[in-house]
Formats: sequence, C-alpha cells, structure tokens
Amino acid sequence: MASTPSVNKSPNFKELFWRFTLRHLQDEPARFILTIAGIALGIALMVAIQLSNEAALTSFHDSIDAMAGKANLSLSSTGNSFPESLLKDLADTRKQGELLPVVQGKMAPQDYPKEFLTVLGVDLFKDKEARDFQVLGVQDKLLTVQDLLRLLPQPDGVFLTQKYAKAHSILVGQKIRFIINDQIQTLTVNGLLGNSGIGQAMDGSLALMDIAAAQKVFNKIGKLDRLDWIIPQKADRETLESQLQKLYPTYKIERPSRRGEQVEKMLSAFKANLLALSLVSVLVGAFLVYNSMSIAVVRRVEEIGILRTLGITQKQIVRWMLAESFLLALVGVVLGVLLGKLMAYDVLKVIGKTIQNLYLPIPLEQRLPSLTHAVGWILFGVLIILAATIPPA
Amino acid sequence: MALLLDVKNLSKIYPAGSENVQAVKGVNFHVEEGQITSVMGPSGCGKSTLLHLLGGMQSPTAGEIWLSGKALHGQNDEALSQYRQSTIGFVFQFFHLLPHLDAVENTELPLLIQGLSASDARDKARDVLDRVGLGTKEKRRPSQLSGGEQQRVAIARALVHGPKLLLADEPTGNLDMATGKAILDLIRKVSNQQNCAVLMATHSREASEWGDMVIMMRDGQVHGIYPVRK
Repeated sequence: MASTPSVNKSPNFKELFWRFTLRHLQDEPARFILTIAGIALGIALMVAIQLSNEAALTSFHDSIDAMAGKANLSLSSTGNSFPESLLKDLADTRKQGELLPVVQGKMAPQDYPKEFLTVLGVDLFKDKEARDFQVLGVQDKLLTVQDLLRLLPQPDGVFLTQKYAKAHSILVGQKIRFIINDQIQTLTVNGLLGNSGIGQAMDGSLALMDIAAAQKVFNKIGKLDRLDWIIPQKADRETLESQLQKLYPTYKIERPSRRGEQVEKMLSAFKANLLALSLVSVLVGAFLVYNSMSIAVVRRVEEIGILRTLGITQKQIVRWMLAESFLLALVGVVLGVLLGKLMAYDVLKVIGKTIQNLYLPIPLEQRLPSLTHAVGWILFGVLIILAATIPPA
Repeated sequence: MALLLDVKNLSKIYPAGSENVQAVKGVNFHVEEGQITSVMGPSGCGKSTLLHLLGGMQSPTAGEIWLSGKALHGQNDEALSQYRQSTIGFVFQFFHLLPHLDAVENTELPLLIQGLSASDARDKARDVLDRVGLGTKEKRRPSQLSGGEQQRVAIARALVHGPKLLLADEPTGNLDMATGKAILDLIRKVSNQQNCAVLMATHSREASEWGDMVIMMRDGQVHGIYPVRK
C-alpha cells in the first residue's frame, strides 16, 4: 500500500492572515468600509428596535403597575362613568378589604395644549394604602396630614409630578390654566408628587386631585370612573370577583395586574412587525458580507491559486476567509451596537408615538434598558453574518 | 544517481460536454535525483497538464506517480498540499508573484506555509534572494521589477524551502532570448547547489536542449525520450 508523503508543521497562519488581510485592507479600503458599514447598520437597527421595544413595554408596564398600586380588583364601566350610588351598594365589601373610588380624566395646560395629563381623583388619605406617592410642598418639604387637611377644602387644588413641574418650571402655589372638556379652568398647584411610585408613572404626565375636586372640574358630580379594591385574602378576592361578575354583567371587572399582560398581548403583533423589520436589516448586512466575500474570492482567484501551489489546503483557505469575515463582523457589530444604542432614543420616540396613537394613550419614559437585553439578538446577527461567508469561501 | 520520480501509465481525461478530452495518454518516464529534464512539444500537447499532475494540483484519471518511493496518486487534498509544501517548487511562464507583497515577502511564503517563524523565514528568503542576484532589491514589489527579475524572485520562491523537484512551466516563454538564457543558467546553478531535479515544459527546441534529458510529447503521449548531447 502506498504511504502518504511526509507531513511538516501547520502554516504560520497568524503571520499569513495579517499579511494578506491587512494588505488587502490597504489596497481596497472602500470594500472593507462598505462591508463594515453594512454590518454596522444592520446590527444597529436590530439593537435600536430591540432596546426600544423593551423600553416601551417596560415603561407601559411600570405606568400601569404604578397607577394600579396594590389594588388587586377593579370595576369600571367600559369607557363611561357610573353613578356614585354604586359605592354605597358595595359598601359591605369593605369587610374583605379596602374599597377605593377613583375619578379619572384628561387635561392639558393652555400653554402646552398637546401635552395631556392623566388626572386621578382619589381619596388622598385612604388612597395612600393602595398607591405609593409622596406629596411635597414648597422647597420639596414633605407635606404632613395636617397640611393636606388644610389644602383639601380648596376645590381647584391639583398635585403635579416633580418631573413635570421641573420640565415646565412650575412652582408650588402657582395657578395654571388648563383645558378641561374644551373649557379653560384655572387650578392651583397645591404640591408635587415625589419621584417615586405614582410620581414616576407615565413619564411624569400624571396629576392627582382630591376626588371631590376632580368630580367638580371634570363635570362628574355624583359619578365615578372606577372602584378599586385591595383584598388581602385570595379566596375573598375570588369570591368577590365572581359575585361582581354576576351582579354587574355589563361592567368590566378585572385584576389590574392583568392589564400589563393585556397590553403585552395587544402589542405582540406590533412587536413582531418591528422584529421582522430588524431581521431584514440584518439579512441586508449578511447579504453585503456575502457579496463582499464573493468579490474578494473572485478578485483573489489568482492569489488563492498561487497559495495552493505553495501548499495551502482548501480548508486553510476557508479558515482564512472565515477569519477575515469574522474580523469584519466583529468591527461591524461593535460599531453597530454603539450606533444602535444612539439610534434607540430616536426609535423609542417613534415607536412610543405609534403605540400611543394606535394602542395606548400613555406617555412613554425615555429610558433605555441595558444592552444585555439585546445580547441574544446581537449573537444571532453575528452568526447570520458568519454563515453568509461560508458559500463564497 | 538514485531514482526520484517514476511515472507509470499516467492518463488524464477532462469531461468537455458530451465528449471527453484525453490530455495525457498512458505516459511513462522517470527522473533521477538532480537531473534536469525538458518536456518538449507543441502547445496543447499535454505538457502543462503533466506538470499539474506531477505537482499534485490535479488528480490523474489513471496511472501512478511515485516520488522517492511514495505514491502521489489517490491522495487527498491535505496530503497533496503537504507534498507541495515540502517537496515541490513551481515556476510559471507569467511568474505569478503576489503583487501586493515585495520580493522578500514573496520569497518567504513557502516557509511561512511550512510553519517557520517570521524571522527565520525572512533570513532564509534573504539568503536565496542573494543567490539569485536580487539581494539589493528585496523591498521592491513585482511591478517595480523587470520580467527577468520577477522570474528570479519566482525561482527563489520555488527553491527557498529546499524542494526535491522543481516544476517549471515555460519559464522563459515571457522573456527575451538573452534573459531567458540567463534564467535557465540560474535554474541550473541553483538546482545543482540544492541537488534539486528540474522538469521543465517548453515548446522551444533551444530551451529543451539546455537540460540533461528531453521527453518529446505530442497529442498527450510521449513520443521519445533521449539524452541531450553536450
């Protein structure tokens, strides 16, 4: 049987790789730059969309959670107010837990007519058990119960968030003209909601009023928009939930925690569309790599042929091309991730506006999650780009 | 002299549409160590195909190739690549130097492919470039060298790793007569120094008579093997 020719050491791959790839980089900078730019844009778009999606959903979830607070059951009439007498009818349910009436409305400052604030009219003393908020007075001094008791009789008092007040240079005690139900009404800023709990909800576009004042300014005297319960015992809550469903079949009876799930369900198709778009951008990046490597192979046919006569194997040629594309992918991905993070702020605005217009009229917090939320997708992008190198190599 | 290369009933058939083209038909010959042999014949007679088969760049359809008692026929790409890396040197009509590398970088390529460190490869490449008379032009790229100088770099590259067999395909075909003669003399001198056998394909009678033996080829077949009278 024939013996195989003697085998030497493996090639000095590192030296050969740098020599060939760097020389080509010097000779054809445009091809390398175009390829890296293609990868970077593809990855950037994917990262930006992923981060924005995540940020939008987290922000909506946080707002819903903050506004619901500890309430674990609620009753509302779909889109309409209902008579206040219902509160009396259900007064017995206080045996199982807290019952909190809520009036809700929208208003916008006359100076910023497009900036709507969601107003919650609540029992300011009782409601602290459900929703987390701190009321601050002049120079951010925490208001005591006595302070609040003194302020409550004022029928035009409103509490704005610190974030909103700071952004619009509003001070405690200031009188502001608001557009409410197509009419101008002047309200007094009695205090500010600190940057915690409900004060962080809806990116600060929230106001709190005493329930009686809210009924008056929103022309809902004798009416309520929602009843919230805090029922500590799970069994009691479930019993009450089924009783309410039987007694008030036309009303919406739900657990506030499920609103987040509903939002997610509602937005899932929208998210899927964005994801598909970002994948298209990665595929474009992968196509650019495929094209670039195909051009490289065609342009280097003679070079590859010479190296083959000198003893390079086909596998080593493939390794070389893969290493080169990995280098391009690495540079492209790093740039893409950085660019994606920058783009994400603008994408978040666009996504937020679309979601607000089409699905939920809730302001969005402009805060992005960390890049770890996009790591899986970044790796996926790198793999697609590397896979695009194999056919030409 | 000891037997280096033994070729037995070597054939190569290329599929070309519905018909097959038989480029090499049942070729038999042998080459001894250090011997310079010319393969002489008109264009298209199968000289280049024969050199590609002997260099392991193509696989024969039939027949056997033995080099220093080791079989080349039926080997895979890995084994043939390692054979080219260690045992074979190639010189081409159009030089085939890499345009983006300078003379010394082109020369040291086979050594880097063999796995030598960059500094060892550079020392050996410089030594061989000196021997082909280009020691002062090692930093020049191929475009900055004349045809004869480029072929000298190609010879240096072909011999730098100490091959047993140099395959030269029309090495003077792209050079004027005086330069061509100088290149042939250089090949003889350097191959003699390294005891490297040479197999040179040429269609020129003058060039063919520069070696020790001539193999006459026509239509893919060997039509005669005779020694050159000095």
